Amino acid sequence: MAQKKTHRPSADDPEVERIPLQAVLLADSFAQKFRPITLERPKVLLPLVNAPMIDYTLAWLESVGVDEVFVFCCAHSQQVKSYLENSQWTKQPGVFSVATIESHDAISAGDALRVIHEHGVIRGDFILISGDTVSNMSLAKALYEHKERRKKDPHAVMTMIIKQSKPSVLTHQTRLGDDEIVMAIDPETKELLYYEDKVDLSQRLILLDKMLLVENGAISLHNDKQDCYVDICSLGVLDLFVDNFDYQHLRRHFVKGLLVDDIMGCKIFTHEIQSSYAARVDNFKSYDTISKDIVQRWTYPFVPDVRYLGNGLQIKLDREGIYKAPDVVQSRSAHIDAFTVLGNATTVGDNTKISNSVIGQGCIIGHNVVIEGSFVWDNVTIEDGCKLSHALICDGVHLREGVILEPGVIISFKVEVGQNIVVPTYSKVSLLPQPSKQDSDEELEYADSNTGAIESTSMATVMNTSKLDFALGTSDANISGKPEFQGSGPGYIWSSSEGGTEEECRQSIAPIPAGKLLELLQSKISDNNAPDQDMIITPASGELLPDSESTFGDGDDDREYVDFEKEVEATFQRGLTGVEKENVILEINSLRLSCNMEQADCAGALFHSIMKQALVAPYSCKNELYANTIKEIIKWGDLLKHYLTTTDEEFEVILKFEDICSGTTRDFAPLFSNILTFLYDKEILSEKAILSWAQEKEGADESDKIFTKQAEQFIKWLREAPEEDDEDDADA
Amino acid sequence: MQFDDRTRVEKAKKRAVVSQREVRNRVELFRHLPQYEHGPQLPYLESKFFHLGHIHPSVYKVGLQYLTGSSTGGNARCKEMLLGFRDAILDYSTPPEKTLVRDLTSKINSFVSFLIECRPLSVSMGNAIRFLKSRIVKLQPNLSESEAKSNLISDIDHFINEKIVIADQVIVHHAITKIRNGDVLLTHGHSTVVEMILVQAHELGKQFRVVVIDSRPKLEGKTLLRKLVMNGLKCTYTHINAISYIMHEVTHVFLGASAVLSNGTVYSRVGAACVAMVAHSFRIPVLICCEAYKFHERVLIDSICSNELGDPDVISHVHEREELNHLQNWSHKENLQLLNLVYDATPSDFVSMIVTEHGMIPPTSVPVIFREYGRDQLLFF
Repeated sequence: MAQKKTHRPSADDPEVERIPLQAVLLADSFAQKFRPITLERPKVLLPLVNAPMIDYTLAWLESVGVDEVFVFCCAHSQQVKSYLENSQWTKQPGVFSVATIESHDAISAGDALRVIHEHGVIRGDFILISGDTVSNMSLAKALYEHKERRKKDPHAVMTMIIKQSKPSVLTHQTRLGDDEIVMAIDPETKELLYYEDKVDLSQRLILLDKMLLVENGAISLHNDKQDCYVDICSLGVLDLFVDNFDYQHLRRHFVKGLLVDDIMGCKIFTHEIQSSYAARVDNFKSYDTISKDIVQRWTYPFVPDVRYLGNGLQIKLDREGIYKAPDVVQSRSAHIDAFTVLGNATTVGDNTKISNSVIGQGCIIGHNVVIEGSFVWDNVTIEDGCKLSHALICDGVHLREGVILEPGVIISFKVEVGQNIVVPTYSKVSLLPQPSKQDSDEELEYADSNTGAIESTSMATVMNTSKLDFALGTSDANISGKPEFQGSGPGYIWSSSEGGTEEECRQSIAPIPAGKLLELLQSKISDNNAPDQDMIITPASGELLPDSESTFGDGDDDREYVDFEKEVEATFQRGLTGVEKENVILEINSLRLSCNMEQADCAGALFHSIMKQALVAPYSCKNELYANTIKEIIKWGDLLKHYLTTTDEEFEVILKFEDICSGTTRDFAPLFSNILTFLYDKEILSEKAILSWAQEKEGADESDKIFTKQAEQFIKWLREAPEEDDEDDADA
Repeated sequence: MQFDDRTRVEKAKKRAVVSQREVRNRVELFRHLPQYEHGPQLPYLESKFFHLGHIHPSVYKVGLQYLTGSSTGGNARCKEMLLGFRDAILDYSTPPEKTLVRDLTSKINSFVSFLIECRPLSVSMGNAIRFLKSRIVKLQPNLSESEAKSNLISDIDHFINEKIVIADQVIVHHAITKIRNGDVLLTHGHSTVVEMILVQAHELGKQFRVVVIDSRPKLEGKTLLRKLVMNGLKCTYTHINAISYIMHEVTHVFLGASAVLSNGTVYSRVGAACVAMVAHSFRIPVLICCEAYKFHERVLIDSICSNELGDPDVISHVHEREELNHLQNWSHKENLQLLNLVYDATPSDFVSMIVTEHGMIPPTSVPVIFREYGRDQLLFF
């Protein structure tokens, strides 16, 4: 642990001797995983077992001997600042100082670090941590290792803290709902060589650069490590962020960027913690897990009944992990089960059962209520006969009689739920409407203050849709015929995020249902047994043929590709209206670079646009369509050829074509082989590509083979043709 | 055998198959127990594999398993041994000019002495060996060799099935009646019968909680804990130093046993006596689950006379705390002795009930089992 000094080192202190240990705390996650709650309150101030998350982080930073903390606030910066001003962190005299840095334009961790660099407050090595981290580890060893490495090798810019996570059925619940992380570490030096945080579970495949194996004597690949998101950085990290102004995400851009691009020889090292605790609240699932870890005292001394800075109340710990604040009023017949926290001045009614839950301050819980595995924040009123399981309920919520919350429900601030409503599983309810358009890339948990005002017109429509939602879930709501959410203002039901149910159940507060877990496991096992995994793998959706980049495939890439395709089409449309062909090529090329796509993707997208164009002209029968298509192909063949330099790209075009025929526009289906022949004749497609396509499809399902069958004759002819060609050549 | 008797130890050493080196710093009180250094025997035995012609490979395997500690627990060890003997009998053929009864008995004797060298016998194994020998002796002389062998093999199968497998099922059946909703059950170490009881009670839908008490150095409770948690039971895990804290919550204590002696003393994994004693002082019933074939007519009043010494080295290491190495090279310090006892004896006062396949009996009634089911009946059905 860094030794503390009683007075601040002034400028004339020799720097080598004593540099105060500094920390940068990002009080903004730059993500939307906690929406809708974070529309009204910043994530770092959300209570985690009745204390704001930032308190855990600050308390830990103090305990490891950090002297100065710079809290970077962005979204809801006023709230964070006023909280810190009123808290003991800034009031207490002594060595531990907390200062805030505010910026409203930062939209990512990268921006935040650039702002901090501008301020010029960081003077040496610092700890980079986000304000939602809970830990009790000792940093002394990691800091020492980091400093030693820096002495030997100034390029060792960062030390990442990782910890072991056990790979078993049970810990699927506790992997915090994160993406699976795969990292390669040099077992000797602990240098991080490869980092991938979006490994697709279903594929069970990662691609490593073969140079990794050439350059390093030994590599250990880990899928059993958790990233704690605590980094020890040197000053150079800030410079790197300034130099590479496109770095946004700490892991996705910065770490991967350093590893892949080898910028100035910078290296990242890892430090594995053994028995201590470190975890970050990233999503609802990790919120649930970490809360339980705190209640079960894995994070000691940061547990509810120990007075560390930040919580002043004397909370009593009873047997079986039941925590009670002083002024709890509890009925004699109420049954409080293991691992429950009851906040100050909370009232619990007769025959109420509470287990595995955290109840905040000043809550009123009625009679015959059942609460299990839930998180109830402050000043919540729960009337008689409610049933809550694995739900999260924010401040000031009012649940009227007989409300049933199914697993995974999130209810945001001050919502009122009417009598006997059943809120279906995984719903999110808020007084604020869901933003209709979401920035797909980098988001802020930042809401304009005026979105709070609800317009009556929009409200009506939302109410309708919400009713529909309920009708699907239960019949109860319809029978009651009352508006679902009454009182201070009707609420909005947020539709699920793009991830779909899979993502939802992985990241929700509720435990993963046993059936689902089994499914996940089985898919893994069957994947392991899959006979041979070629380097080219078609994802289940059959949307695109992944190239080497997208084999790490996931929803993001798919979406990016669709976006890219649209852009190419728009460009192509401009080409129709008279823009020069060269310019079209130039534009598509720049698009390719900006979207990080391959040549093959361009070819596919362009071909798609051409085929679409063919559909624009009216046609009544397939012959006309054929004629149209041929016309278009002749017209744009040159442009297309520009992108078809290798068989791979041609291959991509065929697949795309197949896709078009089977998916979007079935009109082309009967013409498949004709057009294919035509493309061959026009020398747009080489026979090699067609043959390899045919070969590829031989092993496929029957349903996949429709088009190969259609083109069978043509392929057969092609197979025989080469010999003739050879003869021709020989003759010549 | 008294191991503090120098001349007898010398004699035994000459006969021994396994080369044993004695521990240097012996504990005075336990000098009479076999105290061999653990560790060097295994490579020695491995190298001697082809020279020990008279020991059947299956028995040899069992011996190695005892040595490495890969098979522990009374039932498992007994089963392994019987299966080893079964293989040996299958491959046995009477040498010319010898009788099967005599020759096979001496063969079994040599196997047993080999096994004892690997690890001292448990009471259950002793009973099983006695049973097998008496069956051999009682073979009708007019039987052919193959008939005799098949008789013995079916006897061994019967023994395993009736005395261990079915007995366990009956014990589980009995013990489950004592588990009610809302109970908190405490167990120590890892007993297979107790594990079966807990899992089955959970499957029957009884609502209860389990406290697993564990003790160093073996930490067998972890295995039990893992199995229980896998089955979805609510568990609390703690070490034996917290026993008096946790005992407040407990309603029943379930323990396994290595042997039950005729004065009602329960001979079990070290720590069980402590658990039983604390439970007794908290007025919490202690139920011992033990198959009747582990009963023994002997009387034991302390855990000194008959016990087993484990490897003293293992208690000098603390699991996952490598920095706590103050006991390294302890054997070079003359005035330091480490004692790693494997068993202890629980006096019958601290035992409320013994659950056997013959029913639930108080510890004072152990002699009744001997009388009613007699030694003959007990062993020769």
